[in-house]
Amino acid sequence: MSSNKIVLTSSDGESFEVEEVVARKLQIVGHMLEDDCVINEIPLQNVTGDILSMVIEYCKTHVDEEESEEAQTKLKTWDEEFMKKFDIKTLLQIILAANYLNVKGLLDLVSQTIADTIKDYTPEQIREVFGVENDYTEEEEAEVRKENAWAFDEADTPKP
Amino acid sequence: MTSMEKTQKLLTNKQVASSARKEIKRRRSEFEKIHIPNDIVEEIMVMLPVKTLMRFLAVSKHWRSFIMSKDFVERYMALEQSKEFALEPTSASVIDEKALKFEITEWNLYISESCDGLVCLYAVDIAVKVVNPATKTYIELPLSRIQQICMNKQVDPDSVQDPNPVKYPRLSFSQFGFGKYWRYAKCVSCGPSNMDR
Repeated sequence: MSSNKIVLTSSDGESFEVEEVVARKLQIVGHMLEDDCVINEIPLQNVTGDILSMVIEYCKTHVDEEESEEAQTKLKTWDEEFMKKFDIKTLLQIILAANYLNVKGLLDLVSQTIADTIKDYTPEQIREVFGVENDYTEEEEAEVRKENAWAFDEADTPKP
Repeated sequence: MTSMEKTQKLLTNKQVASSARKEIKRRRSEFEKIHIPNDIVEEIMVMLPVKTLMRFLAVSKHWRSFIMSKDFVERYMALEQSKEFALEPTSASVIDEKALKFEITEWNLYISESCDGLVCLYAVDIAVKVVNPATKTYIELPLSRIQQICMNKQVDPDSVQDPNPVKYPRLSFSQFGFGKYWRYAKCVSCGPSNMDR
């Protein structure tokens, strides 16, 4: 097993030295390495250091994905605890990073966590969190809400 | 409380309110900086329950057309179908004021087997209803020819009072499904009428 070290550099200039096997969990890095230039330092333009460090933490933990049920359960528990650390804003940044860096497992995990987090949100909260502009007129919005009134009855209003 | 204290308190309240507003503004502008591309939004949305999606129709026109789009609906349905679940007969009766209400029919009401999560309600004298229990919506299909004939006959009181009315040739449902295009439901009864819509 190669224990080559690779340095990943974030958009804000933070560097992380990781083992090649860990770096390869980021498929974007994997592709670069396959293009068989010898690279030791990879600049990652679209991700900041604080987010990249979390992605690396995920990849380190998931570097040997064992098949055994016990190992899977342990990983799952770790995933849950890991996700609990982040607020919705950070989760959105992680999902962007996971998408850009192409880390499939993390993308799925964060998608599910975000879905669980926003499922009781009101449309107002969604607009705020996702930066969506409301292009309905007042009447149109009232109509849509009326048509689907049943979907609003338990909408809690926890602030993001 | 002296008037001075009062003034001070008012001032502090004002300051608090203004800093809270600033805080909201700051947070909003931070959020606005995060642009989430559509494909990522889609990854999240397919994992949401139907009820949440119906609520999010009110977010914006863009979100509405996205949630209602054929591509999204098909992907969502495929994902739901991959999950294992079953409807089980139960003795519990649910009386829900938000339940869909239909007019009372004098004929037997049939409920079809489900197809892609939709069921058909059918009786001789009402329009066939294709119901989506998940979104609590339904559409009515036009009356079939056999229904029209039947309903015209029903105007005749003899026909209604007849204890053994002549049953129209096997009107109960046999199948309900979709044609190639999902929006076009096809109901086939064993009788002489096929209905397409």
